[in-house]
Amino acid sequence: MSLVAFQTALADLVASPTMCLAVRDKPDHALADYDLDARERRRLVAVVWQRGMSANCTVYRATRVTPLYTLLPLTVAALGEAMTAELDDYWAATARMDVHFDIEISRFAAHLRARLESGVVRTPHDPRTIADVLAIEIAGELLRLTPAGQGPKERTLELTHEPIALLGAVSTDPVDFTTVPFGRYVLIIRKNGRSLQYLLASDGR
Amino acid sequence: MPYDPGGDAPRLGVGMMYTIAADRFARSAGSLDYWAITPDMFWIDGGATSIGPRFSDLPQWVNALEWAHDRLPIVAHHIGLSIASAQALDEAYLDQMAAWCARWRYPWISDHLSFAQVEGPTGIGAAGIALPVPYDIDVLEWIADRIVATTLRTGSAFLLENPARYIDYPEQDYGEAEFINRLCEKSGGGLLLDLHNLHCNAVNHRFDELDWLEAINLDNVVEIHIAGGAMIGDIYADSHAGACPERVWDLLESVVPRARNLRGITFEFHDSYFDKMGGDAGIAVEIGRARDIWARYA
Repeated sequence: MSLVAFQTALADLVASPTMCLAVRDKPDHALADYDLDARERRRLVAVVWQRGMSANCTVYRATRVTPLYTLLPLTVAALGEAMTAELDDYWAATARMDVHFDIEISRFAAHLRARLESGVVRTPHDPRTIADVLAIEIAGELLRLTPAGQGPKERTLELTHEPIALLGAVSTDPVDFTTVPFGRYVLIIRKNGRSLQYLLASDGR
Repeated sequence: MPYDPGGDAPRLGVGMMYTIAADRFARSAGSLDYWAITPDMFWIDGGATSIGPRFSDLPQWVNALEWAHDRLPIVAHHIGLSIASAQALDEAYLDQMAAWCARWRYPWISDHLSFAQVEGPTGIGAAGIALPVPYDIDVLEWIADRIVATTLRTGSAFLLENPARYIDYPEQDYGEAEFINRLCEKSGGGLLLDLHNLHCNAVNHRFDELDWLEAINLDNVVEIHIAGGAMIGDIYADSHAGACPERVWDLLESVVPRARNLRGITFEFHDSYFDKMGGDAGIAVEIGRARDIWARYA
């Protein structure tokens, strides 16, 4: 059904200002992968020139950052100026948002974790500090978002930085991780009703 | 008997789209004639691949519904059905809609004339924004069938909301008003006339709302939405940013006396504008203005 291709192409355009520019520049090439009829192609070529397309792109990005900034604020703070590039990279890799915030932040976390491990995130900090902040934050949020009576009630994390000092450091402005002790730490996060308990099970030795 | 897409739904009056921010206002005696809710905000949808039950209640939100259920009518305004998507209907979502129709006994349910779910590399996913469909003959047939299927499954009167459109497709088979008229006629669904969406489109695409209203069949209107907006760059957006603009009030004055099947007027605002619009007192002003118009004409 051609309408499937049309809707997919339009959604891809809304998710990518870069693709909008590509359609403006070389429409046949940029839309070659979509099974569109001639009228659908003309429509897409027309809308990328309309000022409303910028508004669509803005609304899309605002919608998409909401779960990340709302549920992973410490990770966002730890990334600092690198966040913009990480968003672009994540959205390029996963064009479809998941409206389920737990799934959306899990996908972002997996993507970011892989990039931190491969050393491609452009950050002045040791990538392991950001990975630890992410690990603590995502584990807590996923526990909190799990409906009562379903899923695990506890997560155990192995960290390379002392978690209390780490969370203190990432809450300062500007973020400064230089005094955070390095070592092997085990943190247990436990769901207790609607609140979370953080228990340090190993102290870095 | 004159045509009435609202069926046996009662005339309700003036309501508000429920938000946690306005919970105190919504529960105060006499403040509202009904609640409108977005059911998707009241449950967690684990998605098609969830291991346990796909849908689970969010207790804080559902507690509010249980409070309202004994006191006020509740109508449902969905955002997860994506009635205009090109894929097959989400059967599990339809089942959930039907279960909540039975549970809360909505007088009617509604969705937007737009698509928000699209195909991606790993299956169906969210577009991240509600996007308009082209107003073509084949699209009309497609959506009408889906409305009929939804109506049969849920057993509820179904309304479709005219969208805020920031883009405009060339070479469409119908204008928007004619498309909506034909769609209502073919599907048996009614119209949720969003006057702020109409105002947004008029500002952004430079037409007169009154011309559009002359072309639309107002007999299809069962519910009206009113809201405020804000500029995003040089586009006027349906951001539900507080009080309604005067133009929306003018349009409401114009439409209510002529919409003979109208059952309710719903004020919408986004949680984040609660303080900016003056909290409970600010909401009361908007509800009061709408009630004045309802009392004079409806």
